[in-house]
This record gives sequence, C-alpha cells and structure tokens, in this order.
Amino acid sequence: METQALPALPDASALRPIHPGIRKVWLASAVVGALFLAAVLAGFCFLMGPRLGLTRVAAALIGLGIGFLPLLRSVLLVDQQYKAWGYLLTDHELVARWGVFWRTARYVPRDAVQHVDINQGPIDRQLGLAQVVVFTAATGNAVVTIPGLPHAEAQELRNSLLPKPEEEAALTPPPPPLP
Amino acid sequence: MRLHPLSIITGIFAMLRQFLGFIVVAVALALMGERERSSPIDLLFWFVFPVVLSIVASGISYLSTHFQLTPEAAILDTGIIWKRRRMVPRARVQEVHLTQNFIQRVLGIVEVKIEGAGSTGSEITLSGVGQEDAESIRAQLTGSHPAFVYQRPEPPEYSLSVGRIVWASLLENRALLVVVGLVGVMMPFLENDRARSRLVDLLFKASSQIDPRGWAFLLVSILVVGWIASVAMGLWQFYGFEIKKHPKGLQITHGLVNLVTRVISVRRVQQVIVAQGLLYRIFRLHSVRVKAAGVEVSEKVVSGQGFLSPAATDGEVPDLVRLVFPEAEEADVGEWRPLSRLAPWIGAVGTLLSVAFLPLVAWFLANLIDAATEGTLRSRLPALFDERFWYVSGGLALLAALVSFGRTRTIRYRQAGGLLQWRRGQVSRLSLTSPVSRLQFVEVSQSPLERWFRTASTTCAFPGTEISIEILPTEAATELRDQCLDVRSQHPGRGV
Repeated sequence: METQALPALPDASALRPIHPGIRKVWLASAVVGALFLAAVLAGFCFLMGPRLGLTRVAAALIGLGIGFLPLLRSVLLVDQQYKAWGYLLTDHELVARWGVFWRTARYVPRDAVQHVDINQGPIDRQLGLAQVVVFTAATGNAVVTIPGLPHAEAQELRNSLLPKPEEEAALTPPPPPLP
Repeated sequence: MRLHPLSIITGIFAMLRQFLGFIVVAVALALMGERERSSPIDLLFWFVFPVVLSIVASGISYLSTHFQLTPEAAILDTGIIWKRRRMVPRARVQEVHLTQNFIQRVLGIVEVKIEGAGSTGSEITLSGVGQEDAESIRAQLTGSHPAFVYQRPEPPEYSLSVGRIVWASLLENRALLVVVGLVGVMMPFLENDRARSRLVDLLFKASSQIDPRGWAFLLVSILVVGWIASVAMGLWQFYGFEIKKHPKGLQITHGLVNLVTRVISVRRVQQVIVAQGLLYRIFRLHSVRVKAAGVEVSEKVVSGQGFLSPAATDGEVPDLVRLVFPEAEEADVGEWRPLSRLAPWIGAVGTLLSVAFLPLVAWFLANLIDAATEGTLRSRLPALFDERFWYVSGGLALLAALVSFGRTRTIRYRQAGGLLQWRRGQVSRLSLTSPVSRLQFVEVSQSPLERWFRTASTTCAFPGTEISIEILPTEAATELRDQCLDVRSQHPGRGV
C-alpha cells in the first residue's frame, strides 16, 4: 500500500521537499519528550509497583519502557514523515502535503493569506532552519505550518506569500469618500 | 365612499358603551335574580334593548354615512332624517390622525380623523375604513402640502406573525420530552413494588408514595407550565421579527422588551444553516440561521450566528437564502451528488470502533486502579464490570454505528452557481450553504481506512466556518477541490 501512487493527493515528489535536517529536529524533540514521559512514568511505577505485585525496580523499568515507546515510533517513521512532506507555491495557491498514515493536502489561495510567521526553535537555530506558519481568516489557528526550511528560503517564501503594496491596494477597496 | 362594513361592529361596541348603565343594571338583576324574583321581562328590557338599539343604530349610521374627497374639500354626509354635511377645505386640513383601538386592530380597520383649522366642529371622523383606504386618504390630504409628501414605508422583506412565533415555540418546547421521560422512568416503579432497588427507593421515596392521580396532575402541570414558559420565551425573543433592506445589508429586528436590531453585511455572511428537527419536519417549518465572521450589532463587530428566521415555512426558505446569496437561483440548477457508496459503512465502522474503545479504556483503567488500591473499587461497586456492562456498551456502540450509517447515507453535496452546499437527514434535516468566492483553503485528506477503500475527504474552509465532505470517491474529491479552487481564482480578494 505504501508505494502505491495516490490519485487524491499530490505525490510528495511532485512538490518541493523540505530540508533533510528536519529529521534531526524531530528526533531531538522526540528524545526530549520521551525522556520527560519516561521519567514521569518510571516514577509513578516505582511508587505503585508493590501494590501491583512487582518489585519497585522492575516496575520502574516497565514504566521507562512504556515512556520510550513514542520515541521508537518516531525513530521508525522519521524518514517516511520527511518524505511525506512537500510544499509548492503556484500562481494561485500554496500547496502543502504531509502525513504518513493520515495524509493531508491543503490548498491556500494566495490572496487569502492574512499573515505569515517565521518560527525558530533552539534546535532549528543550531541547524539554520525555520518554520513558516501561514494564517488565513478561516479560523483562529494556523492553516499551514511548513517545518524545516532553510532560513533564507523561509524568508523568500514569506515575501512571495505576502502581497506587494500595489496588490494590497487592489485587494482592499478604498473607503467611500466622506460626505 | 362608504365606510368599511366592519365599522358596524366597532359602532356597536361604541354604542354599547353609552348604555353601560343599562348593562350594569341587567347584570345586577341577573345576580340578584333568585332573591328578588325579578321577572325575565325586566332582564330583557335592561339587556336586550340596548344591544338591539346599538345594532340598529350602528347599521343605520353605516348606511347613511358617505365620505368623499373632492379637489377642494373633504366632505362627510350623515343622517337620514336630519341630514348633515360637514366640509373641511383641503387648504385648511391641519392634521390627519389614523388610530386603531384593540377591536379595530383585530378587525383590520382604521379610524381616520381629519382636523381642519378652527375650534370644535371643524373635524371629520370616519369611524372605520380599510387600512389601504386610510393611508390613501392621508396621502391625498397631506400630500397637497409640499412639506408633507407622503411616503409609504418600505414593506419588510420578511416578517413573522405572532401566531407563527407562538406555534413554533410550542413545537420547540421540550417539556413533552421531560414528561415522557419521567413516565418512562417511573412506570416500572409505580406498578411493581419488587422492582425497587434500595437506590431507587432512596431517590424516589417521596414520589412513589403519591397516588397515580397526583402523578398525572404533576405531569400535566409540567407540560402546561413548560408550554407557557416556552411561548413566553419565544415571544420575548422573537416578537415583531422582521428583515428589512438596509444600506449596509440586511437589518433584522426582533424582541418584545429588549429590541434587538442587527445589521448583517450580506457580503460577510459565510454560511446559511437550515435546520429542521423532527417536530419542525412534521409541521413543515425550518430554522434558518446565518453565520458570519463579523456580525454587526449596532455598529460593533461581534462574531457569531444570527437567525434569519426561527420558523420559516417551506416556501419561505428559498427566498430567505436568496436574500443573503442572490446567486442561489443559479445554484438550484446543480445536481445533488452522493458520497462514495462505501461512506456509510466506513462511517459506521469508524463510529463502532471509537465508541467501543471507550468502555475498553474504562475497564482497563478500573482494573488498574483496582489492582493498585487492592480491590477497594471492586468491593465498593461490585456490579460495575459484570456481563451487563459489556452488553450495554456493546449495544450503545452498535446503536451509534447504526445512527451514523443512516445519517451518512443521506448526505448529499453540490457545487454550482458559486455556492457549495451540503445537506443530510431523513428524520431531522440540516443543510449548509457557503459562497465559494470567500474560500480560505481547501483540504484533501485520507485516513488509512479511506485509502484502503480508495476514498478521500474534502474540506472547504471559509472565514469562521467550514464545510467538510467526508468519504468521497477519490476522483470526486479531487474534482471538487479543483472546481472550488477554480471558482475561487475568479474572485480575487480576502473574502472577509
């Protein structure tokens, strides 16, 4: 199933890929998350172990193991996740596609864009990457979050997404003249 | 011109007021009848005489009254034996009063008073003419002054009668459900003593001792109070509901005590929602709401929903939709398209899995807590996770899956005339309509299950709302996406 081309969604290879360094970012944040979860679970199991009929150490180890399960999932899927990501700026729309199991493609008309953020986490900054977040009037939340773009490319994408002053004037009709 | 024939009735009431003394005496005689042994003839005289006199007099007055408007004056002729003509020259007309008392309002007639310059006697009173005639008389008389050019007020685009509001409030009332529910819960306990468990006994100790007649009375009074309350609420909120054209869009006014005037900018309406519950379905009513990213309430921008009509009939719904989306007429040509044939099955399986998942989690957590607390939970709630738990949760999951199957089967969508429409429902109905020109983004997505069956879902997002069409054949999903993006590219702009 995985290799089969999908007619409904554009193939990621037809779009622009994101930077491969993003895999390091995802892994690093997965490790941080897993460490935190494992610590909490291990502590909980350490305390509750005797009640479940286990020794404290064995229970703590089980908790640790459960805590690291999401990390295992990230490690196994990070390549697939990277390959599933793609974006493209066409004449009319910004297209973004992501997801390994649950796959999504979003098409944002260029003139619907309200504002654009560029975010950089600590690991992003180390690798010179940035995240482009596109907002429309649709809801309060971001519409598209494109991770792992080199900083220069992110800025270029933002600049081409936002309308130039003369286009802006065409988008917003002038206010009616005062009586 | 004669007066309106219904003015005879108001005439009778007006005459009867003159005979008020007679009627008071008649009533007093009737009340004291037994003690005083007053003869029926007395009663006849005091009561029937004034009534008959009023009717005759009022009839004569109707037949003998003629009114005319000549180029020079307003002329009123009255009387059969003593004829009288009263003239008010047009140039002297000071004021024209139109008034309606309660009875006149019910009958739909208006009292017109034409006042000339001068003291008493220089006025003409027409005790009852039709509404149209009254306004035309006023227009003709006051229109001669250039300063008072008569302008008929614009009729509202849409209005709700008091009767419709009351009727809809009765249907909206949930008291009936409460009563049916209470009867359902109480029946076994009222009939079967052994069915009472300790818990039920504790909860309903007082109520189970009331006799059945008391119960019936209680239930009926809940029903009646519920209905009265619901009608009162409906009138409070929607009395005088009307929609008028406004320079900035549509002006919706309603309310009995608190008058709400809401102006909706038509260009900012993002969705029209037409809903029909079971009772509304039976009586052919619909609730029509608009969703806007910004609804202007007296110039303040507030986001939210507003009613276009809380109770519109079948025929009014298309007109209301057209008020907001003028392009709706072209959209009617479009053909409603179904989802993938597999959609109900996929939806049902998805629902079954997600609903069945909850009791499993509950069972797992309860066992974990039970083990951790050395069986205190199990000893407290012995019957929590026996066979019945699994039967009930399995049954609920199956029921939810069945409902989901039936609902999904009725979903249709269409994209025509620049509008995207979605509807569902056999028993209760819902339909959503949004303008594609204000599209914010399109999303096509596939879950693993959808991929297996070669289906996909398309979601169109508009400012503050969205229409999600789930589980389409992949070709239809991409076609819809392309159509929507195509229409959108012909309407540049933010769409807000």
